[in-house]
Amino acid sequence: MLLGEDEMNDNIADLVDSRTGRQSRSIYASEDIYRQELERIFGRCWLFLVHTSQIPKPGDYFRTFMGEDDVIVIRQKDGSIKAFLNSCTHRGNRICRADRGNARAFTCNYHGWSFSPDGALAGVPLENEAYFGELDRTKFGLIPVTKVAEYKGLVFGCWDANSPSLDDYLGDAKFFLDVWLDAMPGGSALLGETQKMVLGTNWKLPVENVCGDGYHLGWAHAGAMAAVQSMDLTGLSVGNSGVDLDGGLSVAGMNGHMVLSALDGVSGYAFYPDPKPILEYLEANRQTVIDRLGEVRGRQVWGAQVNITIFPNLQLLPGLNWFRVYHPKGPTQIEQWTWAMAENDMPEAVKAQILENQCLTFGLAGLFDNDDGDNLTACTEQSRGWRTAQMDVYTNMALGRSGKREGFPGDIASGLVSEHNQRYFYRRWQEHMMAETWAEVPTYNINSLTDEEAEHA
Amino acid sequence: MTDTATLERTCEGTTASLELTHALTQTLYREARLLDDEHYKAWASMLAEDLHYHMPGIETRYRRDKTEQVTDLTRMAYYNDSKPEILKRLSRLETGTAWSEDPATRYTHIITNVEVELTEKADEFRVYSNFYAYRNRNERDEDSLIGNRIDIWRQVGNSFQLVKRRAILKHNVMLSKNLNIYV
Repeated sequence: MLLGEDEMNDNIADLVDSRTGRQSRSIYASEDIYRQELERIFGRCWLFLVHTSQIPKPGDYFRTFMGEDDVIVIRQKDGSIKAFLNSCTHRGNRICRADRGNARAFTCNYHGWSFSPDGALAGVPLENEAYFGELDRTKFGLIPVTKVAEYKGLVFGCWDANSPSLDDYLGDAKFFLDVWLDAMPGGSALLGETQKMVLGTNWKLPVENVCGDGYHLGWAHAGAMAAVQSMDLTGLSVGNSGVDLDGGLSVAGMNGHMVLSALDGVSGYAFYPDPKPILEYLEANRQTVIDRLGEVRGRQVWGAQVNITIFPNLQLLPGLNWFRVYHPKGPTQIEQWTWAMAENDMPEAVKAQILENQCLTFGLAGLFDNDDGDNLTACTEQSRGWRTAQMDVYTNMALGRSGKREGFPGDIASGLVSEHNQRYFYRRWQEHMMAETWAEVPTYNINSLTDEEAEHA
Repeated sequence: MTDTATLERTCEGTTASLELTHALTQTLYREARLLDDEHYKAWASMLAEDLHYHMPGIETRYRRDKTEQVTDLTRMAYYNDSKPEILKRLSRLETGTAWSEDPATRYTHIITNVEVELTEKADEFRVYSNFYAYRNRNERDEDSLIGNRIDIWRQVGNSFQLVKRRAILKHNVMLSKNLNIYV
């Protein structure tokens, strides 16, 4: 039974405590909470749709999801990008059944209604004979995603007309996104087709795993790391066997977006069995990137192991070069979609190596994903019991040990091993879940840098 | 790559003799048994040094869309491995810290529809087969991976080594939480 709104909000207030790092386990299994997430998080936030490199030509389309809503994203004749619900306005059938392609029109299999790439209802069989010419086609176009906007190749959609602009939504996370999107003049691309897999986990668990959990790396992935790690770097002494708090940063407090970043400028490639060609690319272009992004990002962050999380469900790891979206499929299941990431200035051989290495490490058969899938699904399954459902879980490592760090935006905890970012993730989750409208959702970019400071950092 | 026989049939394939077909069929069965029993060292000894092991990802596309999904090696693949890469994957299991592999997964490989053809190389044979790889893990984790394979096997003395394999799964969304299996 669905709870009333007031009852639900009281409940949400009690489910997460960011000051102590506590979460109720019910947020990983409750159907009521999940329905509210679809409305207040996936129905409200800017959600990643597509990278412009995936639909380069007019008519190119890509199917994805916003929450559980099936959406077609399509390049228009004028080069702009629109997105629509993948649902016929007559009887609701799915009008596009392919993952991607190029289309001049989408024709419904059921009764033959046909829609042009701009969403207009272009054809209705027996329009004069059966509808007597009385159907107002302008009222039956495909339902457009309310807002679609691009940031340097990343296209996002949003259902809420009252949301902040994409630019403001991303806030200071752009400082880190630019380390991939704008490091080199040629910009960025996603490589390879979508690797899709079903995981029996609540969608928040993989997000928290990648947004801040450097703690698990050295333990959960010990076997995988031993198999493929090719560099011995201080910045990567993560996990629960040793820790170096100077080697990296846990950055949060940026509108719910989070970053983990090593600071050595190379460690992203530590899990490439043969990192030499990529290290040569980094070496050859280091000065260009320093000129474009400044010393801090150009020398320390570009090439390092960097985990970027854009709230709620997008994660990208420049360096390791995988890019991932989690589509929720009920409280205890997701579809995980993964691509490889590249810079367009990279030599073709390097791009090929990135795609191959992504499949070896973080693809479906990837050595690291073999470990994570098991842990995340078991964390979800273990919340089903009558007794366990009443329990709390904690992200309370290094409470109250964060602050400003010269040259970086955000509220920052030292090191990659902390639970600082996870606390901010759950804080943002709670802020959205308790807010009835966007106006009630706080905006914060803690320790924001001016553009000039960022470039000269 | 041009030094070995091609996976694609260049002309109407010539069926191998009964004796050769039997020998290669037995080789496939032995390989399946070694994989079921996790005898990976013995399995690796059946792999040629110049192995290419390929399992492409398959998108759902309309029939009119002629994008080549299977043979284009620049596309996403679950496996696009050389022998050293396979050995790296296997070395994870030997570290003793691949926690998700303990308790062990229980496997059964069923190999059917075997056809053996001669190729342009006297010592290399094109072998078609279908596989059903069943996995059961922990209490209730279960999946079935079914697909087609095309292999090139090379005769070395009295035995055969796998030179090329293309395994084509039928999934679009993989209905399992990982692929920790060789087919």
